[in-house]
Amino acid sequence: MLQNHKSNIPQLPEPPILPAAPISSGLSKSQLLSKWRDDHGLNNTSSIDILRDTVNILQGIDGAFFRFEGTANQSEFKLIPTDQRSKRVPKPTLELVIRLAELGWLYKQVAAFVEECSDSDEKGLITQALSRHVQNRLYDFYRLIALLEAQLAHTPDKVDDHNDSADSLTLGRIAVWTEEWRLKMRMMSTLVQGAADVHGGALVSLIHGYTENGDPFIRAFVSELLEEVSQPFFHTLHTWITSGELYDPFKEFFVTNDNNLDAHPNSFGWMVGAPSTAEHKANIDAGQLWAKKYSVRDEMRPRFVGEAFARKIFSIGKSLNFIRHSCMDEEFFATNQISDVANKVLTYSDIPSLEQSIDIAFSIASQRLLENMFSKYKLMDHLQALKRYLMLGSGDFVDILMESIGPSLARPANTLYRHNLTATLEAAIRGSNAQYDDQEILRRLDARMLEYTHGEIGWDVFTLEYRVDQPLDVVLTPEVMSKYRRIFNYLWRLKRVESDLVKGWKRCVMGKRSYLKVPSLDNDWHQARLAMSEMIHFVKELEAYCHLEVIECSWEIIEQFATKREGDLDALISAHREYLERIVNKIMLVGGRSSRRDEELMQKMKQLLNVVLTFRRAVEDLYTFTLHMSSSLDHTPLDRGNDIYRHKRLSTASSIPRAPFEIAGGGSSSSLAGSRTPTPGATSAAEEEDDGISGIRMRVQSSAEEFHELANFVVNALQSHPDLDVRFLAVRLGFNQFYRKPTK
Amino acid sequence: MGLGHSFWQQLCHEHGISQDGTLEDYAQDAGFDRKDVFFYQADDDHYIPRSILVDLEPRVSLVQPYEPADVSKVINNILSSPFANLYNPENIYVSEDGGGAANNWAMGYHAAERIYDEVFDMIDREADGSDSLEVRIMFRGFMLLHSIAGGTGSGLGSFLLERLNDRFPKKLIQTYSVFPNNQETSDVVVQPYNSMLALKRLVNHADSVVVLDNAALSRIAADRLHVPHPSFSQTNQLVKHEYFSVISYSYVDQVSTVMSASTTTLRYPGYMNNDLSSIIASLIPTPRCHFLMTSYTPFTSDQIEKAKSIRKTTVLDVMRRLLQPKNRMVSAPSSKSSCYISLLNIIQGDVDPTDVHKSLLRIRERQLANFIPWGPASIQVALTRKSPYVPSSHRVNGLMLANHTSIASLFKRVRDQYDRLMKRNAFLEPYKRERMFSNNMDEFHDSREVVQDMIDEYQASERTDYTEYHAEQDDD
Repeated sequence: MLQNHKSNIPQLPEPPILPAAPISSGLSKSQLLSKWRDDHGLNNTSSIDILRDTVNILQGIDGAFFRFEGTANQSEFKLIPTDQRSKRVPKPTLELVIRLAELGWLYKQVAAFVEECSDSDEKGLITQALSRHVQNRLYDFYRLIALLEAQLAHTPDKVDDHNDSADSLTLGRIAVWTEEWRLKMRMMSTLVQGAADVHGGALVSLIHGYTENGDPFIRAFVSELLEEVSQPFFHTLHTWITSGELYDPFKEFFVTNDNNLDAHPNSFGWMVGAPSTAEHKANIDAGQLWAKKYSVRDEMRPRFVGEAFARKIFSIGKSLNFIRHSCMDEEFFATNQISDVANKVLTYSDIPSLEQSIDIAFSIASQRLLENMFSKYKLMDHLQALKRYLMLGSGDFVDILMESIGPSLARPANTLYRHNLTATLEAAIRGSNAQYDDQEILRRLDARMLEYTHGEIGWDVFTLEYRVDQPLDVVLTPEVMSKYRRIFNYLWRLKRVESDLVKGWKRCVMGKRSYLKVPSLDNDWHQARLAMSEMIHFVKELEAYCHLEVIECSWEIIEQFATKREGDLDALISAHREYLERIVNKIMLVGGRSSRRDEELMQKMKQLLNVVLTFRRAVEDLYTFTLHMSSSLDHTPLDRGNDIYRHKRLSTASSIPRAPFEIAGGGSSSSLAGSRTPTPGATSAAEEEDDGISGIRMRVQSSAEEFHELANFVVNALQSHPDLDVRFLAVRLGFNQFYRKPTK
Repeated sequence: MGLGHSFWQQLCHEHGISQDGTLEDYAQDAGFDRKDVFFYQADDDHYIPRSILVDLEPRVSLVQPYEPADVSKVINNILSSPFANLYNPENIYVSEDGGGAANNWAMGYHAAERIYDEVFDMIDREADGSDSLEVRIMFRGFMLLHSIAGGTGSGLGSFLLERLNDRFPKKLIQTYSVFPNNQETSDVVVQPYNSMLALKRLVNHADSVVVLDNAALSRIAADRLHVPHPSFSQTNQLVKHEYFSVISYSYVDQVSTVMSASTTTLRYPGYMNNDLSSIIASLIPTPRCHFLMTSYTPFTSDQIEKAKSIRKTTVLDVMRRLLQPKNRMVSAPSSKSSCYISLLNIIQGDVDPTDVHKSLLRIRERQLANFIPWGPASIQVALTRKSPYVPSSHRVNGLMLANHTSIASLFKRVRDQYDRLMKRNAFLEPYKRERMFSNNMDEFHDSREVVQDMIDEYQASERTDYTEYHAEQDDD
C-alpha cells in the first residue's frame, strides 16, 4: 500500500530558501496596495492559511475560515465562512476549496459509518466486512493527508509569483492529488449510505450494482471491494450447500428459516430415532416443514446470483437438510460427496465455476434425495398402494370389502364400531390378493369413520385411510391425503351403486330362472330390467372412465417422473400434485365453463346416483311382492316328476313349481312369512296384486324416468365440456347415440 | 371333458401350476394372479381344480371328431395323462354301469338321474367345502362345459342345469356350450333333437351361455391356422391327444383359449370386472337373451403355430378384428337389422390406456358396430394382464364377449333341422324307449316352443318397441 502511494503522490522537493524581501523603499505599487489592504483588513486571505484550512477540511475538520454545516448524513453539504476574512478569498480559490471540501465531507460520512460499525455488534456480517474494507481504505487516505501536512509545513507563508516553486503545496496540487480519492470516497460514501438502509444480501446486490458501471476505475474499485465484502455471503452459502444447515446469525442470506416450525430451535432432535405416531402428531408434518421451514427472500439475493440459480442453491440446502433430518441418511454426509464439490473456493471473482459447482451439487443432492424417497422409503410402492386401495384399483379386494361391509354400512353411523370395520378390512385383505402385499403397506391401511352427525348412516361416513409418516408426508401431506380421501369417497360411492345394481340384476334377470314366475308382472319386470340395464351401463362406463381414462392415464405422470427423476424434491412434489389434481378434476368433472356449471353437473351426478338407489329399493319391493304373489299362487307342492318341464306353459294359477323359497334379505323374508296365508286362492291373490302393485309400479317407473332424464342431462352437459377427456365420457355413455339432445 | 381338461391345462400353464398341482419354481411370486378362483389349495400346498368330472362311459376308445367336447368320452384319457394327479380323485365320477348315452339326450338325462346323489355330493362339497368366509363370499356360481349334440353332454348337461338351478337358485350358472356343426351332415343323425332338448334348458336354467359353434370353429381353424398342414409342434401336441383328429384338436384349443381368456379378469384382478356376475350383468339385460358369442384375436396360440401369426397387434387392430364377423366363433350371418345388445372386449397384454380411448373413437366414427335402438350400449373394454409364464408372440390379444341378436339365426337353423326330422317322425324310437317320452312327445314340443320364444325375443330386441315387448304379450 505504502509502495503504492509513493508512486501516486509525487515526492515534493524541498522548498528553496527565498531571498529576503526588500524593505519599504523600493516597493512596487502593487506591493504597496497589498500592504495597505493588509493594514485595513481588506487584502485577500493568504494562501497558506487557506491551504491549512483545506487540509483540515479534507479531514472533515472545520477550518479557521470555513466550516461544514449540517450533519454527515445529508446528501448535500454547505461550506460556510466563519468570519469576514473568508470573504476575501478570491472566487477561483473558493471554488477550489469547495471542491476539495466535498472529499472532506465524504470522509466524514464514511468515517462516521466505520465508527458506528466498530461500536455496534448488531450490524450484519456483510456490513462489518464493508466497514472493515472501508477502514482499510481510510488508512491509505490518512497516509495521503499526512503527506499533505508534511508538505504544508515546508510551504512558505507567503507565496508569490517569485517564490512559488514546484515543491510547495498549492490548492491546485491538492486538488490533483486528491482527485482519485474524491472518486473513491464518493463510491465509499454512496455504499456506506446504502448500507444504512439495507444489509446482507441486499447490500451485496447494491455493491454489485456498481460493477456494471462503464468507468473502469469504479468497476475495478467495486470488484475489489465486493471480493472482500461477499466473503461472509460465500461462507454462509458454503455451509448451506454442504451441510444443509443455515448459519446466518444476522439474517443476511437469501434463504431464511421460519423458527416457528422448529420444534426445538436449532435442532431437529424430534426427528432423530424412529418417530412414533404420538410424537409425530405433536409436530408439523414434513410437507409443511419442507414447504415452509425455509423460504427465499428475494431481496436478499445478491444480483450476481440469478433467480433460477438461487432456486437451485435453495433446493440444495433444503434437500440436504431433508436428507439429514427426515431421511436420516447420515451415510451420505460421511462420504463427502457433496463437500468435495463445494470445497472449491467459492469467491465472487469466479462465478462461472461457482455455477458449475452448484449444478453438480444440485444434481448430487437431489438425486440422493429422490433415491432416498424412491429406494429407501419406497415411494412408488406407496403411491401404487394408494392407487390400489384408495382408488379401488384392486378390484378383488374392493369387491370383498364391499360385500362384507356393505350390509353394516346401511345402519346408522353411531351403531358402527371401529373394531368391526378393521376386522372386516382385515378379512378383505386376507380374502384377496392384497394378502400378498408388503406388511409395511398393509399396516398403513385403515378403515374408519369420518365425523358424523345425527342421522347419517355408515355409507356417509365410512372411509379407507392410508397412514403415512416421515419422510413420505413431504409428498403425501395431509392436504394431499384429503384429496385421496375425496377420490376414495366418490369411487367407493360408484362402486356401491354398481354392486347394488349387480345385486338388482341378479334379482331381475337371474331371478327369472327360478322365482319370477308371475306372468301378470312380466311387463313390470321387463321395464325394470331395461331401466336397470341403462343404469348398469351408465355406472359401469363411468367407472371405466374414472379408472382407465383418468387414473391409468394420469399414472403416467408419476411413472415418467420415476424413470427420469429429473429435478429435486419440489419437482417430485409438483409431479405428484399434478397427477392428483388431474384425477380429482377429471373424476369430479371440473373444468367446465364456469364453476357454477361444474357444481350443477356434479350435483346432477350425485342426484343420479341417488336415484339409482331409490330405484333399487323399489325393485326390491317389486321382488318381495312378486315372491309373495307367486307363493300365493303356489298351492301345489313341487312335483319333481315329468311335469317339471311343463310348468312354464301351464296356467298362471298352478305355474309356480318351486318351493321352498330361498329368500335373501332378512327384512323381506320376515314380512313375507307374516303375510303368507295358509290357503290363498287365485281371487284373493288378484286383489292383493291390485292393491300392492300400483304403488310399487309407480315408484319403479318414476325413478326409472328420473334417472333417464338425469342421464340425458349429464350426457348432454358432458358433450360440451371443455375438457377433452371429460367430453370422452359423453362418447362412452352415448356410444350408440341413445341420449339425444333435449327437445325444448 | 376333453375340453374341460384342455381348459384346466391352459389354466395350469397360465398360473404356473405343474402337472401334479404344485407351483412351478418360476411361479413362486404370489400376488400377481388369483389362483383361488379356479383352484383350491390342499393342505400340502397342492393346487386342485375346483372341478368335477363326470363320465357315463368309462371304456371309450374311439372319439368322434364331431363330438370333441362331449362329457362322456375322455375321462380315461385324463386319467392316463400326465395331469392325472391334478384332479381330486373324489371329484371324478365314472359311471359304473358304463352304459353311456348312445347319443340319446333322454338316455343321458335318465342316466344322470341315477347318479344324481353321488354327483351332487361332490358339488355340495365343492360349493361349501371351504371353511373360510372370504372364499365363501367369492363363491359365486358354476361353469358348465358341454356339447349339446350327443347324448351325454346334452342329456346329462340338461339334468345338471335343472338341478343346479333348484339347488342354487342364487348362484350364477354359466355354460360354455359347443353347438354341433349343423351345416354338415353328421353321423349323429338325431343331433337336432338333442340340441333342441338341451337348448330349452339353456334358455330356462342358465344365466349365461357362451355359444361355441363347431361350424365356426372349424372354419376359423382352417382359415386362420392352416391346420391341414400341421407343424411339428402341432404334431407334438397331437401325440398327447391321440384320440383327437387334427380338426377336433383345433376346437379344443380354441375353446380352451376362449374359456381362459374370458376368465382372465377374474384370475388377474384389476379395477373392474373381477366378478363374473358383474360382467354378465352388463352383457345380459333381459333374461332370455343370454346367449353370448365370442371372437378371439390373434388366433395363433403358441401351441398351434407361430408361422402365420398376426404380429402387428395394436389395440385398434385387435378391437377392429374382434368386430369382424369372420372372427366370430359362431356362424350366424348378420342381417341388416341385427345388432349388438352389449359388447365387452377383454384386452390382454401390455396396453397403453390412451390407445383404448383412441380406438373407441375410431370405431365409433366409422360405425363399425350396430347397437340396439332401445337403450344405451357401447363397447366396454376391460384391460387385463397376461400370464407371465406363457410366452406369446403378441403384445396384445383380445377376446370379445358379445350379446348379438344375429345369434338367433343359429337357433333358427337348429329349429329348422329339428322341424325337418320331426315332420317325418324320424329316429324317434330310441327316445320313446325312455321314460320321459313313453307317453307323449310333449317335451319335444315344449322345448321347441321355448326355443321359438327365445328366437322371437331376440328378433324383437332389434326393434325400438322392444320396450313394449311384454306389454304386447299381455294383450294377447
